[in-house]
Amino acid sequence: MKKTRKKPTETDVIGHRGERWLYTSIVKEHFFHPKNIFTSDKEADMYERTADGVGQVGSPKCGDVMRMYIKVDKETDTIKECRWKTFGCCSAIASTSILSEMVIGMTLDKAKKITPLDIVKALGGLPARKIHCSVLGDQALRAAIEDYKKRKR
Amino acid sequence: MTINGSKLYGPKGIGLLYKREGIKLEPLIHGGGQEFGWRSGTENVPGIVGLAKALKLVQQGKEKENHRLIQLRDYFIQKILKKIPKSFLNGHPFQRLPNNINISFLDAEGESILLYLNEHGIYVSTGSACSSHKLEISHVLKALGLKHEAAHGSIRFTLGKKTTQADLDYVLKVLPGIIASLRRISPVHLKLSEIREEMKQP
Repeated sequence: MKKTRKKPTETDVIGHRGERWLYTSIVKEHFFHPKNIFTSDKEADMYERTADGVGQVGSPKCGDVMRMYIKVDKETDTIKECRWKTFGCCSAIASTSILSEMVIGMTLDKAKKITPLDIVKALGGLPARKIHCSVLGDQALRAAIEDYKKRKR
Repeated sequence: MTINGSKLYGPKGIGLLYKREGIKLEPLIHGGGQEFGWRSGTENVPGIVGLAKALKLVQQGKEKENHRLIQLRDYFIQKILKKIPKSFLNGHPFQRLPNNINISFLDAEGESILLYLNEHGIYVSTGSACSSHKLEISHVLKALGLKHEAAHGSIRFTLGKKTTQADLDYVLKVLPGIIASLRRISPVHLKLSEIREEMKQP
């Protein structure tokens, strides 16, 4: 019987103990080509001032920090634009990137209800041990929404 | 002390145990009492022969190869620290293995750096918690006094007998761009001077 060699296309990280982690092609796409990012520091600085709401979670000590910026259509309370910055591993970057795509055109009420599981599903799955620490984008988004509401008052 | 065959260009699945006479160890594998009772089971003769040959081969021209690696190592360290801001060497500048380079890049995370390097055909290792089984930073870097913040951005480059200066120049060409793009999307802005100052304190 002829054995066909498995293509290593989705074998990605090998941990200290030799275990392999699998990142889906959606994760890879968002990691290698992150969406809704700033193309320059200048643009980021400007956005820092013009965003309607900004929220940040995590700490560099733990290895993951997410910062989300939203611009809101005040008539409909809908997210018009979403930008982000993330310090972290592949799943941290990919999960924030996909979240920024998910929320555009979404009402604030709906966006507030997004869970880490929704993000993981959209990515087509993540290595189990990565979910807890690296999917923090939803919290950063809620913080940004709260920030927007506070500023509105 | 244990030596792993595949670390010195020998076969995989063979190792060597070096211990002082009289030291009592508990065997990991019990049974027929082969290899003085330390490792029961039929001896892996091809592995043993291969390891012995590998040891002989690495011994030949060892001085010359060490010298070559030290030159490459120091060349790479000097270039990278110059090319990439907010980076520093972990461990002693010259009291280190000829083939070992471990550098921290602030504001970028190790697993991310590693994966981008992989895409360019460069294979490295990281002390970042994100790539470990227990999600903890490398205990070696911790013992060196490295803060978590800096360990997350640590990358180990290991040189070997096939590594050439052209290989290193290729890394030097792609790495600055990788670090810059990860920093551009990073909300973390650590200060090199503060991190280094904290490291000096016990």
